[in-house]
Amino acid sequence: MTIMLLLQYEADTFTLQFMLSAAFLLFLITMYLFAASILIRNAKLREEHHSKECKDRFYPYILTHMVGDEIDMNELNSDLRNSDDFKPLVSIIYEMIESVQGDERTRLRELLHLPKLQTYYFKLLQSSRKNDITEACLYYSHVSDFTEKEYQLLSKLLDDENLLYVHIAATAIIRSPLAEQRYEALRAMCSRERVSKLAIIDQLYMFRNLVDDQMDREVSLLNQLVRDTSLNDRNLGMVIKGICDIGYVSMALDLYELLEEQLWAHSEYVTEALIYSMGRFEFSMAADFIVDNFAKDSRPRVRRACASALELFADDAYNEVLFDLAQDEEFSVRLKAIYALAGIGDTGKKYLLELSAKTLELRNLIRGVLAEVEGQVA
Amino acid sequence: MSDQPLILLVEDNESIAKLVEFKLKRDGYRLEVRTNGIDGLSAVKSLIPDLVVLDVMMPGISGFELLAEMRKNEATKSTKVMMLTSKSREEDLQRGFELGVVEYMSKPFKVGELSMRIKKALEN
Repeated sequence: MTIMLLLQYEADTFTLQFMLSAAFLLFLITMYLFAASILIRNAKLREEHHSKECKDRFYPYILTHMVGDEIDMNELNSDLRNSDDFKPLVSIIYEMIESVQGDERTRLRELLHLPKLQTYYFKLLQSSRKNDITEACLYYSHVSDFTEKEYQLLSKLLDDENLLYVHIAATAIIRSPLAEQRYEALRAMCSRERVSKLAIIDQLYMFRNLVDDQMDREVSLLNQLVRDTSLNDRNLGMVIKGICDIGYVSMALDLYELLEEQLWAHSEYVTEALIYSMGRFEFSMAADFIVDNFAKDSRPRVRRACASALELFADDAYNEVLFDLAQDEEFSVRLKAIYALAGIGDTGKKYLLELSAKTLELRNLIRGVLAEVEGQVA
Repeated sequence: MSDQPLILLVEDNESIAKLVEFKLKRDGYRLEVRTNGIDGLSAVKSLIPDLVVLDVMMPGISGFELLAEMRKNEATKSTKVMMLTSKSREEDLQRGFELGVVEYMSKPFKVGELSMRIKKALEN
């Protein structure tokens, strides 16, 4: 009995000791987290305070320089004491640069060429840390022109395995005033898989230089790009559609020749985009070729593009083709063909009337499309 | 100095607000700046400025909502308003003109041109 009581006592003591130790450990962890949160908060407050203080110091320089008055660049350069001062200065410039244009934008860019900033960001570009490289690329995307050394480092990133690096480097290089450098950036983006459509379109819009007229050079490079079969076909499809949206009208014949050559016949994305481009450019010379080669293509995407182009040509010579496409097995092709016939006018409507008698689905579709089209006309 | 027209700038982008403030003050205008729609609306009512330069896109109350509120108030319904809009939102302009906007500028803009348009808007 005594032994049992002794054992029980020892067990209770052990449990108590264990619980006390656990409570103490929890207390220590809580205190550590509490202290860490205070330290982080203080550091953040200090950083905010420093940033505000820097901004107040730099605003007079920036604003005076922007409105065209002379400032002492050396004084501003020496006023940048360390890397903590750089971020507030460039953040003001980044914030302003997209909202102003002309000389004011040029003058803002001049400030980014301060020697201390150039040295600092060049160093970041050589770093292996993701944040440093991202920060450097952001800087170079605002600077717009680079030294040969800077360009070498940026273009090296275009070949990186990591898509993030490719994207940020391309975003910087695509602002270059040199069409060849911009082409390299666009090409690098087009060569990769899993790039978003938006990113491709964004790059293409940047490729178009609005400062100097480089249209001829750009057209020549874009022709080179759309003929490069080593690139990703989905991306090139987006590029071709973008070419129409931007309005490189002089490329209409080149794109038609590309369609004729059937270089991209294996890719539904590029074929679709090329057919679409013929419609967008109203390049009616291509109509017969499109009808003969693609109206009965096995790929719905291509047949839909065919109906879409015929809609844009709005020529009643192709009503029979559209009549057949309006009975396609694929809904989106039928719909596109009905829109095309509705847009052609009275001759198209005759075909729609005939189609209405075929199935209830077609009748309802045609009724809806006509209501919409005639509503727009009214 | 107090004879100079009073302009109220409602703009949430700190840098743009500073830039416009800097330029307009140099041009001799009296300027008040508010960085959000709610403060902007109360400033319009209390200050009755000669011109309000209003950013369309702002957190809280948008430029259009602020403008609509101004038009409901007897004291501010005829206050001149100039809008700042981004290029991609130019379709909003018709809405602005229906609410009596006298002038607009789309971003990116030239600060010198903004100042000239403000002068023109105040003269009309």
